[in-house]
Amino acid sequence: MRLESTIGEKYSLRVGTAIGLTLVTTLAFGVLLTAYAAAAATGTVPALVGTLFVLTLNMGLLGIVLGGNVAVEFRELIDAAESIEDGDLEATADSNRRDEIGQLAATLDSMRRSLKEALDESERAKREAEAARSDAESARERAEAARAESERRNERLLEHADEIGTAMTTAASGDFRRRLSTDADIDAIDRIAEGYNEMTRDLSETIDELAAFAADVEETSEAVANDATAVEELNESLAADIRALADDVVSQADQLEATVAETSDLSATIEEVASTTDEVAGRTVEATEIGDEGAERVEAAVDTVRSVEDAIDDLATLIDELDDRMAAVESTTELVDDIADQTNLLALNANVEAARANEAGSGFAVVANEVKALSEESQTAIDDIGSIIADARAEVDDVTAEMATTRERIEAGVDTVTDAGETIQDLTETVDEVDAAMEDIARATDNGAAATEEVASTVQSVGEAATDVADRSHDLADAADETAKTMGEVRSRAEDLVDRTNDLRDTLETFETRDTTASHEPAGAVGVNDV
Amino acid sequence: MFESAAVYAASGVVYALAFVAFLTWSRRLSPRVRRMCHVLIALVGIAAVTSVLNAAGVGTITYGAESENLPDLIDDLLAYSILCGLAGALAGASRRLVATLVAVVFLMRASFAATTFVDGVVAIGAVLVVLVGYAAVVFLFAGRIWENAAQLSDRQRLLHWKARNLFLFLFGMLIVFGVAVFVDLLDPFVTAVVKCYIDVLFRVGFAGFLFANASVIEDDASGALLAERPGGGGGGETPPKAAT
Repeated sequence: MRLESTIGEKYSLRVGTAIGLTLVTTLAFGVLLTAYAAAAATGTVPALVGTLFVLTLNMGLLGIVLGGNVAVEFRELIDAAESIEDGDLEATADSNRRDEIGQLAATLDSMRRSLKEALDESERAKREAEAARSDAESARERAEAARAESERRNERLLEHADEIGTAMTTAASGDFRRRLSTDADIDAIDRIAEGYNEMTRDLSETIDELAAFAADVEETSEAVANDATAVEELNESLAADIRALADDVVSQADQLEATVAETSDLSATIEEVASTTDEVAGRTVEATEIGDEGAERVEAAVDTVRSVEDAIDDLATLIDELDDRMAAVESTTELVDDIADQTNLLALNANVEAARANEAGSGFAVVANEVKALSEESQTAIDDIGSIIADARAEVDDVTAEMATTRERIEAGVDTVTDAGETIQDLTETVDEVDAAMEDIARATDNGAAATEEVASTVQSVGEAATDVADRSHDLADAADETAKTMGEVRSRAEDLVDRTNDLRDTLETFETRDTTASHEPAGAVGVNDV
Repeated sequence: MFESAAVYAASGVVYALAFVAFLTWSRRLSPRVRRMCHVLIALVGIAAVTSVLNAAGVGTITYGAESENLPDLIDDLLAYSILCGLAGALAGASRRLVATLVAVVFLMRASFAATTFVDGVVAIGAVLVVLVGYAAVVFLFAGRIWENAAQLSDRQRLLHWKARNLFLFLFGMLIVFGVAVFVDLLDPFVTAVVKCYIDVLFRVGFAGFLFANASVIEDDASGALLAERPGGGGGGETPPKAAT
């Protein structure tokens, strides 16, 4: 498709057909002669020569057809170009070819059209120039006639112009009283005269109005200047007052800031007191608990002392009983001591009897000696026991005395402990009261701290507001200064306006205006109306 | 399969088909050009007949080892001469000039046929006649005949220019072909193939070319396509202005 489209874009149908037919024919003969060469043993060279011959033939024919066309196309293009060169812009070299020759023909034709259009344009311009030249000729003739008429009119115009110039010179010097005649029979002169008359009348009216207006302006400017001076002074005073007020407000704001700081410190102190009070209340509770515990322990101590007292009583009883027993032992010891003495006697008697019995009584004498020894030991032991019991009784006596002393002390201790318990009870009650008071103090300090903080916040807000007021006061003072400055400028300009108005009035007084109250004035009349 | 008779038979079929086609085509042409077209159709018809005769071996003259088909020779003598004359007539050449062309071409083809049967100097002379005749034809076409063509319309001059070039090229190739046959570069089958192809191009191609440009012939302002025109002087050849 691409090859086909490329060929279609490049060649016309006729050329494409010729090329295709040539190609097909050449291939057909090539196939035929190749088949012949394959079939015939000696047909290779003739077939090759025949094929080349056919190929040459076809190429030649194709060359004649296409080459002839190309030559003809180029000849046409050359002829067309030569015709165009000779000025024949109708000569065309149309070609239906799509290749470069066709493009060249199209380009040449486009160039021809462009040249034709340019030439047509040139011809049209030439005709227009000739028409313009003709118009210019006729215009020149008309201008000659007009010039003669113009010269005649010019003389009259000069006369009137001189009159008008004189009037203008007079008007330029400020004298508007002169009037020009309007019957010169020259429309322009009459219109100029009418215009001059109207102008001088209007100028007279305008100058009169300007003079009146200048007087009003001067008066008004003076009033404005005076007012501006008053406003300026007032604003300057106001600015000073506002600035002083702002300074006071700034001072108060500083004091409020200090108050805020102190209030904040007070609030912190109150909060610290509250904290301490809370701590004291806590300690009071602990003291109350300790007091209760102490009271309980006092009661326990009293009970213990009383039980000790009871034990001492019991011990005294026992000691009494011991003393009695000791007395009984002492009596028993004395009995045993008697028994030991009797035993010793009995042993002595037995020795005596044994000695009399000689040998038969030797054994008995041994027993009697033993009994005697035992009796002596019993005697010794009893002596010891008696000594011990005596010591014991003495100590029991000491104990009894000591116990009496102890009981007295215990009773004194019971009294003391009881007093201490009562004191602790009183202390506990006092601590409870202190605790309640501390709670009240804590609540009060909390409330006081909160109130103090609120006061500090409020004072701070007031301080900020005061700062804002001070800032705005400064701005207001600046604005008042600015206003005063502006009013000063207004005053200056009003004074300048007064000066200029004076100058204007001086200038206007140099004009001599016409009396415009009369509706019709004769030409050349002069109505003096000095400003 | 590869027999010369088959080639002639096939060319006969081509001629027959072309004859019918041209005959049908000629009915749509104007009477002014139909006569010329009939001459061309007649040449195609004769070629068809002679091809069939040649395929059948009828009319073959044998002299020694060489042979020549007489109907084919007659066909060539008629066709080449008439076509050359037509090419000259398309340029508006005079009758004498056209007759000269016809005679020269006739002599050339006859001399070429003679080379088949003669040897030596005679054969060389016959070949020289062919070559000189060809040069003479070229000279006439490029000289006086082209000067006559300058008086034609651009399209007609282009038609003549193309017809002349076609004839000269085909005839030149025919001469080259004859030389190739003369030096035995081609065998009988290839000779028959190439010869038939050239003949078909001469007759059918030429006829088709003129049929396709019948409108150009008809546009002749003078209305005398084959009429004698006054001859002009010599001069160089330039391509015609109008393309066909």
